[in-house]
Amino acid sequence: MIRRLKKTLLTVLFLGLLCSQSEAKLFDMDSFELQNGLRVIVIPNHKAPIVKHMVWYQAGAVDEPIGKGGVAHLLEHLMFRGTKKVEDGAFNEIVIRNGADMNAFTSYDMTAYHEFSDLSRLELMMALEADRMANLEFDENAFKKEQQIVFQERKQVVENNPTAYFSEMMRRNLWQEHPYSRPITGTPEEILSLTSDDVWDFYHRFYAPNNAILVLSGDIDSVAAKTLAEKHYGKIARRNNSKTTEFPKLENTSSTKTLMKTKDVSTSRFVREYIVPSYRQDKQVSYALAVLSTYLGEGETSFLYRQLVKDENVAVAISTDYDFTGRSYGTFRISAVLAPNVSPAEFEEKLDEAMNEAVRRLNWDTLSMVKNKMLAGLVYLKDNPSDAAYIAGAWAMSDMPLEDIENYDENVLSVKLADVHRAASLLKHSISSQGFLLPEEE
Amino acid sequence: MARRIYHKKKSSNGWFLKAAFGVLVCGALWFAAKQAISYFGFNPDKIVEKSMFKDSLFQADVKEIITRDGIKAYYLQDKTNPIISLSFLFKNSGSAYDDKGEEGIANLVAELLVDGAGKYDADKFQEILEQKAIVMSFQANKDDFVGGLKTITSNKDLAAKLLRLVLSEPRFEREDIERAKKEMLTLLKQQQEFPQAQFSLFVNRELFGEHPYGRNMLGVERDILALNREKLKNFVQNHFSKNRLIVGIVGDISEDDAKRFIDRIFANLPETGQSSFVADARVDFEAKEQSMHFKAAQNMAQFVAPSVKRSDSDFYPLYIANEVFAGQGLSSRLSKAVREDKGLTYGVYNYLSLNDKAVMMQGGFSSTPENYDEAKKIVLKEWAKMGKKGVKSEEFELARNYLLASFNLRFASIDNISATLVAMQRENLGKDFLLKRNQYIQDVTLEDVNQAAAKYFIPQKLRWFDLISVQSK
Repeated sequence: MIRRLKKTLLTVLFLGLLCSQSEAKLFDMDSFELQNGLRVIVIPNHKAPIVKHMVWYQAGAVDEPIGKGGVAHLLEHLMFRGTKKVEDGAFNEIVIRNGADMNAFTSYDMTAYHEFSDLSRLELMMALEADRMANLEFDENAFKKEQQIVFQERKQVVENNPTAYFSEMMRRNLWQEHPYSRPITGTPEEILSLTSDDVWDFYHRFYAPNNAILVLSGDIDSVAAKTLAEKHYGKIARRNNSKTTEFPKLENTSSTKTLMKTKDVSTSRFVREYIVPSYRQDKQVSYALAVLSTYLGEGETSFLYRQLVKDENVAVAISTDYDFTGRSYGTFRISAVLAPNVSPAEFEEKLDEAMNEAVRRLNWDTLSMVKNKMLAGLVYLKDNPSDAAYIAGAWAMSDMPLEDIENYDENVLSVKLADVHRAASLLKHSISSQGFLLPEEE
Repeated sequence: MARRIYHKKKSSNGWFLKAAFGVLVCGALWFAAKQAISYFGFNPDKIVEKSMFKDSLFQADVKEIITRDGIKAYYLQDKTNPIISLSFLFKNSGSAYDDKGEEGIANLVAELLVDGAGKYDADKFQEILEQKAIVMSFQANKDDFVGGLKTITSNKDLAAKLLRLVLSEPRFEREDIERAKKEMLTLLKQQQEFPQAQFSLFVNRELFGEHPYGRNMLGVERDILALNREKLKNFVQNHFSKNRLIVGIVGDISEDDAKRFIDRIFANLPETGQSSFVADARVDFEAKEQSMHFKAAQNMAQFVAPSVKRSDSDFYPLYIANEVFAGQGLSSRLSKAVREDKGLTYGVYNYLSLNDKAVMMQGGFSSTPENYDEAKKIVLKEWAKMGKKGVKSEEFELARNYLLASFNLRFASIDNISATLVAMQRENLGKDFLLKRNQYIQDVTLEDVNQAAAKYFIPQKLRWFDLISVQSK
């Protein structure tokens, strides 16, 4: 009895602490929009004279026409080739000579370009990035080479991984006719069949200030950021023909189960994915799902890890994650490596039991510990301007308004026990797909 | 103070044009065209010159502090956020130092240290870390046993206490040991699934043979299974000692508090320990090329060549030569020749590997079988060309400018800074290294670079390995 009281007191103390902390904003950032529709986010961090500069386009693999898989990614590569003013190959050289680290990535929902540079080179990075937003140029020769590079990238990064075939099959099973079912790289056949016209169509349709977010994170304040954004990006014309991609509405609540055996692997893996709302589709549910994921399977103190790895010994590793950033649906994922000699059937039974048990045992005390775990280290996100730019950019791209990013802690704190229960029962009634990848005995 | 040199291209000089035509109209036309080019054209130098932000170097005022207990550390105060990052290592306590019959022990210890200490069992210990946002990490490298601690300043006493417990009274409970062993065995199995991992094991075996660098750094199944609590305790006792300790600390903490913080953690460690001896490795760079066969989507290459230690006077010249050859970004010679101009690979690299007992240059790429031979031929040709002709002055300036202008980026995160402070001590670079580093780069001449290139880029001393892709094992 006394112990219990102590525990409750402690929890109250935690909460007291959190409430007083929640005055602090996540990043203390600023945001404004240029006349041409470019949204700018500024995250001041004056530790060192450096700035992360990122441009995020709302254009990704989901926006590709059928049969043109990989065009978003191929365009991302070609963006480094040159423009009307910067000749082929010069872009990389200018960036290197100025000591900047740069790269880009393509996802289902967006494509982002980023440079991390000295403050004194920021304007140059902005000028380069603004230039290729509107003036990209490449010839047929450059196109052919980049197509080959992208083909090699798919071989190296995807196909040299023995689980790649399984992962891509799982994706198709889960998403069926939804564009999330396709590989971001495109299939090898698609990559080789793309033409430069396909790339130009995609570029002209999606690359425009009114379809992008600019993030400046580092040794800069919003007054300077505004002046510079106007100066370098302000003159680029908006494009009004970018028709937004529409996503199919998924109504059947089907679930598929796959069992694949291959000689290429020697350990047994498990994945189960659920199609759930994204932040954009349902804000309240998305915070509850994030809490649920932390509770179930994030870290070694999580419920599933303790139950299935530590107590029951049916898995060597297990984790969950919830991706809320999708422009369409979100995904809730459980992945595990099975302990040797545990059969898929046994594992599945134990997992389902553990999931039910987890929901039954979730109480107010546990919930506040889970929330505190999510929030206790938020201040670390302010440290590295590059990390802050990624987080703020990705969240803003998923339609999260500035105040929701800044008040992330309050939104997490407002999740109630009943919300998490609802989120858990939502999993049971959503489309899901699970698969085992097992070693085949020779 | 180190200032950056910025390579400026000469703007085209049009005076002779004017003189040749001697006509005002032509001059005006030319003037208009030049204006137009500078207006519409892209002039990176001018943009930097006119930028509202000028060059400034991060003031890395690193201090050497000595605690009451006599522990030496590098310290840098940074009050940007209320957080502290501590990096440390125990020298010569990494995987290469695992005793025979105990291969994998350093990794297993690293895995188990966060599983409870003192009166806290694994669950309780990790719960406290999470609830207080104390981040603790351990890792066994080839040469050293490396650790990190990050905490919010207001939790620093608790963080120090927990790390002290970990280093002096780790629990090593039987069930935690069994679980960690299973994890390691799983990693060993998964290593067999990946062509890249198998290829690297093959290369290391062939290069180093019986030397510990030739081992699988994850460990050996039989040895891992035989490890027990007593052996783990011995490992901690033998390796976690003050004479091998190197510490770096950064963040929102005063000098006095930093000293107390460090003492609280490390003061009761023993002065000395024991460890096995690892000799310098002898690598035969002139050995014939070797290949292995494996099921993969591509063929792969790895190649090695002689190099220099961090303290060698050839280090900076060779580092810059390699920057031109295969350094940052896609504008290096190798990247241009194999990737950008031909599309034969997604990426090709070469770097100066600085392990204690074997320094070498190490590179590689992967490419589908129909492209592989051509890519290999180009790499070999570029290698020979590098040794024979060295680098051009434009290339030299480009690499140097990158190294100078990217200086401030290393201060992005305090974890990175504290790790740098440890590396500075590990390599005997001195506490003022960060203030001098750009000068070191600027002191290197083109001649130095070309001498180093001639000395180390020698085709006869480039040892080559292939992974040949086959369709089934």
